[in-house]
Amino acid sequence: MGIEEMIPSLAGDGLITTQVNKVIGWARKNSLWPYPFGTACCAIEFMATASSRYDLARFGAEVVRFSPRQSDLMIVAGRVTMKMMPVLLQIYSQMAEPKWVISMGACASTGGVFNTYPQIQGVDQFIPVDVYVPGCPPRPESLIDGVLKIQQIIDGQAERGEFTRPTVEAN
Amino acid sequence: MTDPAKPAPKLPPTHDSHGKAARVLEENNVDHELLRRKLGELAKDIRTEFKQTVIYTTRETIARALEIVCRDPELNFNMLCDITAVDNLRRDDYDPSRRFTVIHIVYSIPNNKRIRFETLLGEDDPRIPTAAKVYKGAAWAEREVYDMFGVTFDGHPDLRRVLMPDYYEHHPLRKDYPLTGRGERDNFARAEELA
Ligand code: SF4
Repeated sequence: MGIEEMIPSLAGDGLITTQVNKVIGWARKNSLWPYPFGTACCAIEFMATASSRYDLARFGAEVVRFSPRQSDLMIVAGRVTMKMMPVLLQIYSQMAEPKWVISMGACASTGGVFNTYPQIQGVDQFIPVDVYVPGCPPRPESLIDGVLKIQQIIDGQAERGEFTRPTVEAN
Repeated sequence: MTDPAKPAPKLPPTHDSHGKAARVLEENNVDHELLRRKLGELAKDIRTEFKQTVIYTTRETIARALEIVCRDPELNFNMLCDITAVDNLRRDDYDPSRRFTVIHIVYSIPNNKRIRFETLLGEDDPRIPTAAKVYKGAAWAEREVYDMFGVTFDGHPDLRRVLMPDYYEHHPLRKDYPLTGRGERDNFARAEELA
């Protein structure tokens, strides 16, 4: 309920009152431009998510940009190796603020089954991750759920850092 | 349950891949006499192991032997299939003078023949002459062996790492290198520190 309803002279003129943050958040969350950092099989699943059957466009996130300077959502989809990590860091730092990161799949989130010398054991050691999407690979529905969680963060329904990775005791 | 009295059904020849593989290996064998005649002193030890022709060479003889099998019109081994290596560190009969086995596999397209060369190298001095002067394609295969095992190839045109990044310091396929590395994968700056 806005202030316009209390002022009879404004009623019916198509005016609403709200907060600037809310309006900008509403615009941002419905026009996310993802940057796919696709290095392995998860990227294939990302393509499925973006194409017509699952249709990420329903949530306004279909404009996949291959330039970090034009995108605001990085989707790390796949294994990241030692040789790739400097590239990931550079691309992440080239993205303009505000920016969000989805870590898609077991490999990007934890290293997955690849516990070997060149394999980064979770990209969140080096870049801040907002949402983790589990699976190997995650189904498109899971990735869409991840994008919806990013939208919740953007319009203030959730805090940054709310969707953290559950920690598992190492044995 | 199969009836033990009945013989196993005979596979049609197109499905008999094991038999076919064995036949191909036998077809690929090279006559030892011919090799002895061509290589002379360079190939004292020629064997047939697992149906394959193997020549045991040394650091001193391998380059010349490769040159002969490549250039000789009768042998005509015009293709280098691969160069790879084995780290013998975990073998029961390990001896530091036989730490690495470098393997060259050459193939003759006109004759359908194949030879494997095996060369043993010591732990303290893993050097071997390059094959890139004879087979151009050897250059990258040798870079990979250098990257993974730390074997250096004398006379190589450009011996740099090919798989691991240039700033990497170890040779990961050596058996004394731990599977999960020595912490290289955890040694990056966080994005916030870089900004
Ligand atoms: S999590 Fe599974 S599907 Fe995704 S990159 Fe790793 S191995 Fe491939």
